[in-house]
Amino acid sequence: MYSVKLRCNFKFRLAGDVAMFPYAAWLCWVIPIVGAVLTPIVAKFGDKVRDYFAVLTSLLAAIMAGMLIPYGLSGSFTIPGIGNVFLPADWRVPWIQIFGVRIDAGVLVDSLSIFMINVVAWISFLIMVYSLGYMRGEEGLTRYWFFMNFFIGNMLLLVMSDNILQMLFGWEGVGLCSYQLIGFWYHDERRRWIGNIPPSHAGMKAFIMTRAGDIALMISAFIIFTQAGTFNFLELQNNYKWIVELAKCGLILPVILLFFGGPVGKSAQFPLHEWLPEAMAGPTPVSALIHAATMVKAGVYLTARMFPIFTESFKLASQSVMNFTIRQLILTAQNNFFTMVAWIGAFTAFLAASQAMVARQIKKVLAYSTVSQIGYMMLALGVGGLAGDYAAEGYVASLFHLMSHATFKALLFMGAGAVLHACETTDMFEMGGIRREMPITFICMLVGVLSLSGIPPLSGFWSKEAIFNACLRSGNIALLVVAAVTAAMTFFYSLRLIGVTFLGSKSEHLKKLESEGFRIHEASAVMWLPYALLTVATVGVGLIGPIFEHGLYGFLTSTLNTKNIYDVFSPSTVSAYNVDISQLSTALITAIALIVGGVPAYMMYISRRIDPETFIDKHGLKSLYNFLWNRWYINLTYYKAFVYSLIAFSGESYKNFEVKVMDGANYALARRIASFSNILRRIQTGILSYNIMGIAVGLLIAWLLLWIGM
Amino acid sequence: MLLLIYPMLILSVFGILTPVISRLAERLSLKNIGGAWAFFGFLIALIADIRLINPLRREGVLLFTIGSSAKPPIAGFLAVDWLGYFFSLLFITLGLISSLYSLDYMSHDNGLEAYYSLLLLMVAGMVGLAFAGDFITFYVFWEIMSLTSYCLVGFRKHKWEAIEAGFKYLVMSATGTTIVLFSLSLIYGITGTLSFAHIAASLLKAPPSPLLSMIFILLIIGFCVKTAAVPFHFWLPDAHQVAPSSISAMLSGVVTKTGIYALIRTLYLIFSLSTVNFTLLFAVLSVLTMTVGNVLALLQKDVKRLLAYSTIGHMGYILLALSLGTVNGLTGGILHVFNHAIMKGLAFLCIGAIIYVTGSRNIDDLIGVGRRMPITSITFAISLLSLSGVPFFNGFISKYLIFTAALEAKAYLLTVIGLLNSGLSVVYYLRLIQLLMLRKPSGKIAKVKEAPIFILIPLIVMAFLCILFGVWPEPVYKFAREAAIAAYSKVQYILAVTKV
Repeated sequence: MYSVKLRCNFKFRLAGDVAMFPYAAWLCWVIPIVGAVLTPIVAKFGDKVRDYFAVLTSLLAAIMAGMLIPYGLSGSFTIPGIGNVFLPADWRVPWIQIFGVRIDAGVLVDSLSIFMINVVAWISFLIMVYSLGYMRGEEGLTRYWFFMNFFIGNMLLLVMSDNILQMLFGWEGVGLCSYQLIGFWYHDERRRWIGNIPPSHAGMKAFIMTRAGDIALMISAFIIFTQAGTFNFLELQNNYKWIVELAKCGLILPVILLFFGGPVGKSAQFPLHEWLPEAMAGPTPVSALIHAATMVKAGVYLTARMFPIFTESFKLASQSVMNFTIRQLILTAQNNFFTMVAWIGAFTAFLAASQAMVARQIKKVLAYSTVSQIGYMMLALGVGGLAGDYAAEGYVASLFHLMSHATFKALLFMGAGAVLHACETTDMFEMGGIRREMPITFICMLVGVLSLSGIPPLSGFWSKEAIFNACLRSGNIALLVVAAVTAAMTFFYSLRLIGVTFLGSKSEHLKKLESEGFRIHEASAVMWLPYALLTVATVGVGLIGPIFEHGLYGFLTSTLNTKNIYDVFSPSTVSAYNVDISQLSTALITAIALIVGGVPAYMMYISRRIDPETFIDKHGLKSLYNFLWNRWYINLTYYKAFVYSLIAFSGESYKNFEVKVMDGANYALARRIASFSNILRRIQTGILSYNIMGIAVGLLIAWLLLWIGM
Repeated sequence: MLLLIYPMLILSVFGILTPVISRLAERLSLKNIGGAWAFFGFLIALIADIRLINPLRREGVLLFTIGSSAKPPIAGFLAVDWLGYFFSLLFITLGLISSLYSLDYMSHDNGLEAYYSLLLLMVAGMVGLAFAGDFITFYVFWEIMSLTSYCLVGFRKHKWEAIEAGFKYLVMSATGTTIVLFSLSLIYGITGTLSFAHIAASLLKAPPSPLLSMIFILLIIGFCVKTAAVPFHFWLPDAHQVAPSSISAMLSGVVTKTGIYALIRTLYLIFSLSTVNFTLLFAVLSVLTMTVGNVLALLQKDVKRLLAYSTIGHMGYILLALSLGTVNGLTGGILHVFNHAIMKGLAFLCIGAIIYVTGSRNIDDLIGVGRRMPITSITFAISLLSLSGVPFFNGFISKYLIFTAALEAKAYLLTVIGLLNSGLSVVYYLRLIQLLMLRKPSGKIAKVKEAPIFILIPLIVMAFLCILFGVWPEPVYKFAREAAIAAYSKVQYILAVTKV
């Protein structure tokens, strides 16, 4: 009881002290969009003004996001004109009212959106500051700032939306910005290439691949709309009749599986994960912002947003029907859905981690690692849904990991960007031994990779621990094993990244550069300050890990209508949660995983007692290496199945169908209509007496028709 | 309600005073005063018209009687409901835009004092007929509009084709009006009144009869001449082709719509489906109209003539909507009246700008002109895309409404024909875009410059409206729906008037 009281006091004080500004929920995404539109105009006042204007815009958005925190903590929100309402608060304005359909636009203020929007907005701001240094002197910066701010606005719109339709605007907006920014260097110079395709191709690949998922999502959303008559998240959650209706048509499982297609595409999960590694062709701040910290989390966010619907509403829907078959159908659909989410997540985590172990380019390692970590988040959501009454644990674990991953992965990308600039190469085997030249970057990235691999007491440790715990809760040991193996691989590639990039001796490439008088140097303050701040955040959150996690648990579970919400605050549950036996076993698993992954990596890349290449040859691992290097041949299969065959098909169809049949038919049709038109032209004689006769004839015809019609 | 006569009064007074003002200005060697005066007149009339909205919202139908309080009134009686109001607002708005456009466009012509005077009086006539509550008032204003429009078509009197087109228009329109007049005499004979509401009240429960059918047919034919339904359309291509473009915009945008207004009144107020089953007649009429319009537009060499045929095609869609006999159909039709007025008005104004700069209406002479006139060509493209029914432009919304209403009314064949026609029409719109805007200009065309500012402002405003009402159709949709309900539920109108 004590803790409940404490929290109430806290709530009261905050609500009184901090200036409340409810419009922030709208302004936070309107400001960056407007700022983006103004960028070309502001650019007329000079480049400096434009750059600072863009950064200022994102700062304003972040401040707006910050202004929502007091509402989240106090648990109520003020909607002007309506008054104080408890969270979740849905502030709606009329949007489309035509053809008998009413769709409102609105912002949904609840702890999930407040949490997410702050993660996104503040990291975005830091990356914008970093861009000031990183992008200095590049061409087409107006375009860059425009799309960066447009991205931030759309991402925040996506987060704040209270309905699927409005969210889709943000969803597609971020997709568009991602496409534009991946292909930012559209001249496709060879030095910009990551892998074997040029940036513009990479942008298109990302766009088309995510589009496949988006279309599935849209189909699903519109089918849901036909039954529910609304896109609103809260309405979908509370009026669960649509679930029953869909189950009656037998559509419930296909619809929710299609729905997951959107998150799979956006968050680069198997089988639509292949776009993300190539997306690294964009500028590094773009990779940090869009392809690590924010946009790729949109899929996790959407799944989390729908999580109460897929858990609680499904349960209630199944309880509301008498018919056994339909009830079973709903429960099976729910179970299958979460099983699929969990396995897709786990498999993606494993798949990407295995590829990261052999990647040569620093940004590509990080990209695979991002895919892998998002897999973890999906896994956590999946096991959360499978855990029944303990759904909240998976849910919170996923979002906690989202936050800590956003922090350390943004910092890793920014650090990697600094290294790329310093070494003038993207291949990490052409770096090496730059620890002394770039001490700040080295320390920051070290903290980043340690957090990534889950070393205590950094934030990544606690969030990964929470995910293992959630796996254990759901009782699914197979998933836990996959997660643990992935953790081992994560530590391996993390140490490999640090060891190859910073430790050892300098590579031939760097020696050549230095002999030409080039000096490797630390990045400028405007660049290292943002990632140093994120480092501090990672360490800070790590130091207060359990407390933070507990707070987050209380904060986030208020969006779930599960029984646990209220239990959480009573002391008995809290203590039970803290010294659970599972906590110890997951810690043990983590430790084993770290040893299994860490020792070989240490031997190969840090102490360098074993040469990786000879090791691979000696143990006959060459074919495995090739398999991983070629990304499990998935990419190649996709290209063969969808790209090359389509190009071949369209070439053939152009020759045989378009030229011969279509064109022929077109010309024939055009000639026919033209001759018909020429015949019809004769009625337009231009002779007045005939025209008057036309009236008379028309009169007769009209009479005749009326007579027939009677 | 004295407020009711203000819009017409203002337009007429300004119209009558225009020559005086122009002469005075000429003495003082001031240019364009007549145009500014007319623009000012339209603006005040628009404000006066907008002021009616609150009383109308309060009462539903506004009434005004001149002089005698004899019941039922024979003449001089105004009754405005949402339908008439909708049309009146449209008429004045387009008049306003047209007068602004004329400031530069007509600056090379002589006799401008007459031009603006006629324009104002024409709109006054249109507003009057939309406000009229009985057939005599209606007829008088109808004739005011017709007479002024004959003069405006033949305004460039030094050209033979203008005179010929004006004369043709005069003869055909007058024939139509005569037929209407004959029908009116029959109506008076059987009902003893000419007030819309009283006629409707006495025909409310009338069984179908040959005499009623005849009255109906005669009325319809008379109005169809103005609407340019095939086979009564022969005047339209000539008139639109040779009239000054600002007048073509008015003719196509609103003058033909007066016929639509009269048809709606006849079909849904005076008569009804139970008295005269007009479905088949109008279905055939609409199919004929849109097919002839669209097919003939395909091969036109003259841009304005092409647009004129496209107008006939669009009249076909509106007639289709009227033939359905449902509120949804009527809503679609009325919304299409509005949208067509804006987009076709815009198209004519754009081509006027091109003619103003190049002096030619022939497509072959104009190839690539769009590249030299970016603003005009973009707005022209917007109007053409809107006309062809591309989503996110206003034309799409009303076409969509019409075709869904047709599907609702189970008029499947009609829908298919309508959609085929709509598809066919895309051909000539895109051909215009391709020839005028995508090709490289050559020869004389390569040297032209963008049109002057007073021509561009109306273009930009109307193009903006085309997009605005394409992405946010709600307000005008609501308005059209209100008008459709007012037209459809005649009992309210009858009660409101006969109670007086």
